[in-house]
Amino acid sequence: MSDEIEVKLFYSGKRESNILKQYEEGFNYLHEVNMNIQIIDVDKNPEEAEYFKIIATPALWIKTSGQNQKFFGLAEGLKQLLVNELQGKITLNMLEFKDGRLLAKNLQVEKSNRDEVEKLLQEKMESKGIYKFELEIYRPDEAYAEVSLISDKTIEEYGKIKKPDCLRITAFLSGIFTELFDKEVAGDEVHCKMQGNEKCLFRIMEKKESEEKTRERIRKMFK
Amino acid sequence: MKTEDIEKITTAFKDLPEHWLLLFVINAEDYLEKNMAVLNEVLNQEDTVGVYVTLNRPYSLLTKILEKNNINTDKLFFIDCITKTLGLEKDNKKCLFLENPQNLTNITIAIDEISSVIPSKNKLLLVDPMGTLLIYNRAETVSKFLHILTGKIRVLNLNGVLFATEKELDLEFANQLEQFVDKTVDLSK
Repeated sequence: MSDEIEVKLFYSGKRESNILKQYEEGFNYLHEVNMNIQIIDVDKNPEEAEYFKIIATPALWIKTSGQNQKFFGLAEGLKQLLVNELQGKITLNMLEFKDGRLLAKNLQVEKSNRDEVEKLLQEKMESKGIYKFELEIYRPDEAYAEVSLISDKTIEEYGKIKKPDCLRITAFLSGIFTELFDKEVAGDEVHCKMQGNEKCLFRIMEKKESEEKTRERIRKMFK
Repeated sequence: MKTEDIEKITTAFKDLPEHWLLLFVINAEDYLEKNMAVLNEVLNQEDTVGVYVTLNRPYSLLTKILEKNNINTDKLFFIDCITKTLGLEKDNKKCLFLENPQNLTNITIAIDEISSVIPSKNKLLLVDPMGTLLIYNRAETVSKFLHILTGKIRVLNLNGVLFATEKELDLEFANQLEQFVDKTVDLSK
């Protein structure tokens, strides 16, 4: 599979110097499955960017079985390449989590101000294909939130699944709230639009197993 | 792999204190190959039984990779911190699946409990890769975890090998890690 795929990443070394680190796990995974990615700094090599008609960076150019695809904004393009295998999905979730943390880190907002946080996140989410984002419950002091939303991706798959399955959005939200709460939190999707609900609902909280339960599980392992 | 790297790996395990902790820094391009070479070297030592904390590679895939590289997985117990983030997975005799890599307390408990019941005097802890901790946790939480981890290694009479990729280590984290380990082996060049 990987032999047939050609991937080029176009980025600006001057303006987007952090992008290689931000998506590092994705590039490493592609390397491991022998899918080599050519990285092109458009500041140093504008001719190649022009040849491939790259009008904005970062961008991914992917050639599979003779078909060319261009993705402006790195994340979506990488997702196309990562989604197929278990390790790819794990890597993808990791990138979503990082994306979420980065987004929240750069929010110019008083984190205890629920309305302001919601408004800013609504604006940011729309560019990622996430709509009707609402903070149903927001308790930063308890590191707890419930979030409802509608995503482009779930609409496409509407009604096809039995259990909540928006893993990428869950990881993205977990990253966002890790920064907002300044605490390690993880998300769960409580119900999903794909199950026929009006919106997807996510619960974000500190997700820890009790120490006793962990010990009990280990005791069972060695029985 | 370069002869120089093979030599570095072989000599890394010489002249160490009674209980030691090593950090291997590897370039992303050759990560798997060098990672396997280190594991082969350290697990070949007599009576070694290891606890392998995997932070970014699922147990199901990791064991296949290890077996493909002729590494005896019978000598390893696994703590998988990532598979459950994609859904449910049931524990088995060889692997404990933790909820997520944010669960550093539970990782410590798991290391503690599993190491205590391993029937070997030559116990080894492997953590792979350290940089993933910084994706899911705040820097101060990871720092506390490192303190606890190094303490555990001494108390539980373990030896330890930490892996990290060159790029994922920012300077501050790299410096911090180096303070905790007996030796850093740079395989990234």
